Amino acid sequence: MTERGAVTKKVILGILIIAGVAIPFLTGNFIIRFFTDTLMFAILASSWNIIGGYTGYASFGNVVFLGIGAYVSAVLMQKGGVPFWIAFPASGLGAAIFAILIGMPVLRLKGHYFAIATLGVAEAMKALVDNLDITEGNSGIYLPMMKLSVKGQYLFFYFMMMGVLVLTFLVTAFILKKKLGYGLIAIREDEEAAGSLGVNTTLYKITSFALSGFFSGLAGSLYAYQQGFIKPDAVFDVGVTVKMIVMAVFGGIGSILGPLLGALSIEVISEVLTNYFLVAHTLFFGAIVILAIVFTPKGIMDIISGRRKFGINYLLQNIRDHRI
Amino acid sequence: MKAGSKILKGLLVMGLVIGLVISLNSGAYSKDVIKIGCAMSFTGKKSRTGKLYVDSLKLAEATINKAGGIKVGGKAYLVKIKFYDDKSNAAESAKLIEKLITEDKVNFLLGPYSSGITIPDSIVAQRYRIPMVEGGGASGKIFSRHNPYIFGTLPAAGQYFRTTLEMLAGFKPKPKKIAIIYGDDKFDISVAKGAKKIAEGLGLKVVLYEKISESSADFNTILTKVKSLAPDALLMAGHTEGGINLIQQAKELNVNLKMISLTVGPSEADFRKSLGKNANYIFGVASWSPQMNYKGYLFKNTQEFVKIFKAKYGYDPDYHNASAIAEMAVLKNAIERAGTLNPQKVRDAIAKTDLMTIYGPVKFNPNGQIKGSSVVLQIQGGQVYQVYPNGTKKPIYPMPAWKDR
Repeated sequence: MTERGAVTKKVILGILIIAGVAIPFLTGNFIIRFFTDTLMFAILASSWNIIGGYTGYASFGNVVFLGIGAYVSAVLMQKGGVPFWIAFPASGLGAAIFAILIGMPVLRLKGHYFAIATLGVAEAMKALVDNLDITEGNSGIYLPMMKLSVKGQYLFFYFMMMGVLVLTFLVTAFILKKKLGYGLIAIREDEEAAGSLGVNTTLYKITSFALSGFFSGLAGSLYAYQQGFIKPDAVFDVGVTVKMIVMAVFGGIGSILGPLLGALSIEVISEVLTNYFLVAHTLFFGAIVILAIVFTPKGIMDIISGRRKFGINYLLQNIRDHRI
Repeated sequence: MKAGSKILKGLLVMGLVIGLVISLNSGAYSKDVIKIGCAMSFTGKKSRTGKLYVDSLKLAEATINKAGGIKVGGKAYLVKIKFYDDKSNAAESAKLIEKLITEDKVNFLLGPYSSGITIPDSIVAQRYRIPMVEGGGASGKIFSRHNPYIFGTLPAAGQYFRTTLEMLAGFKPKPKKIAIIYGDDKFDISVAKGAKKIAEGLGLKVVLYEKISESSADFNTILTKVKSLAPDALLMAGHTEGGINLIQQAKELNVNLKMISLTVGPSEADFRKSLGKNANYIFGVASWSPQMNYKGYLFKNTQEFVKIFKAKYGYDPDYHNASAIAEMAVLKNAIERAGTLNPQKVRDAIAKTDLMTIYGPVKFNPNGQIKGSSVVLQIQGGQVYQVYPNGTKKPIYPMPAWKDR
């Protein structure tokens, strides 16, 4: 990254932090909720980025961690009377443990096979939760109501989501500086070569998958508590996986801030379009995503980093590079 | 381009976008309008049914406004429904309800389509203490928490057989044993589950409670079981085809019960044609159909509503459409009775609703769900009659044995 890019990045980070802290105190509840959802997607996209971006394993089933996190919290709190501050970390751990168990067989697959297998895992989990008694099947399950003022609740969820996102960032930044991070990138670039150089690829991949699951699980717990009621088809929706991947790609795969910028821009664009076009918004949204992928396949982060000057040539060069 | 100017540009764009989001939400309304908010599925999996609600709600809105609006304390207000698209997504819908309340400052809320989306929405309504009338969610779960701000115009699947069982429990001598069989689908399972609970509450013993495979078309095993257990009544939650097979085979096996009731079938002409004479005395239940005729509140009566609706949209309204009309009728009536736009007072007025609509009589249970609006039907002499409550004909019970017909 160039000097200029580093400065830009710092400035953007600063703006994000200031805006992030100030927004809830300057706006109404809807805007807070809007940004809470955006933060959730930023967590999901960032978590996906760990396994999909840094490790190079494009998981199409990451929503399963959101669902597990949501259901662990719902079942513990509703059926077990467990307080939220215990259910919350338990949701993250539950999703991480599931990632380890499922990762052992699934991470042996590569490319399309891995993508399809993870897709299957999420669908299978939905079917399972649909039919279990403890999850109250496909009619859904309530969570206890929070005893706080309306404003208090929204501030609580907003800052909790933000906390999880910051944690995701810090952990990602931390591992990137360690052997684990280099190992993951080595796996992405050439798994066999990495293995022959002494990288314990199985362990590294599973760790990466578990981290991805952990943060998504925490987000799921918060999501469930805020919604107050969850259903399998909503929290195991494959559309959520697609959304997090689109966000990660839109912002810039394999960068820390990319998924956040992706989530922010996608959510804002989608919100504005929905406001103007009651039905046609999906069409415009699709068009914008296609244009973005064609012209800026490396995402927002690549533009910001200042590696190459932004302009018409930048866009054309991208098209040439990717032979579209 | 210098780094500085680029950052400035980035900042500008970001500020603009955030500003846009915020400014977009300040809808301008004149003062004499009652704003009603509704997040409905315009796109996504539930959009097909969602459209039925939108069509009906728009028709109701236009009808109310044409007739002079809603009168509150001697002053007439026009109604304006503010719609958003929830993309068939529960989280999106809850967020939009938030927006309708805090940004659009709507006075009252209408529900979305489907139970899974209605529940999160109702929780938001409860947080802000704004009443929500919904006609798109039937699950008992919506009302199981006794959320005081949610009112539903669809009878619960679990309540489907309530009127039948109440009628049954009122017969002398009181029947003791009943059998419940149900098809393998979500709705049927809910119907059966609810029926079992109601039956037990009424002191009826459920001697058989079994899931059946309707597609196999073979009811011999289950009917043999029924015969040996000899219940007074057999209730089946299933579909027309299965119902026809069941009745035919019951006759072949000479299974004589005092009552056989089916959820779907008896009201349909096809069912009676297929079974001919054997269809006689079979009981059924129904919530709404365009053949009914109730005196209306927004429209003169059901038949007139069906005519106007068909002329406007070109298709036959079904119970979703009628239920949506009832939503608006309930709101208008409650606001006028309350004589104020105060959400709490209107909520209390909604709770006391006792209204005839083209959808049928609307009264709410203490939990907010509509009171037993399903009626008991019986086929007598090849025709379907409502036999309970306040039927046009008396129910014939017990059914005559097959050999005595």
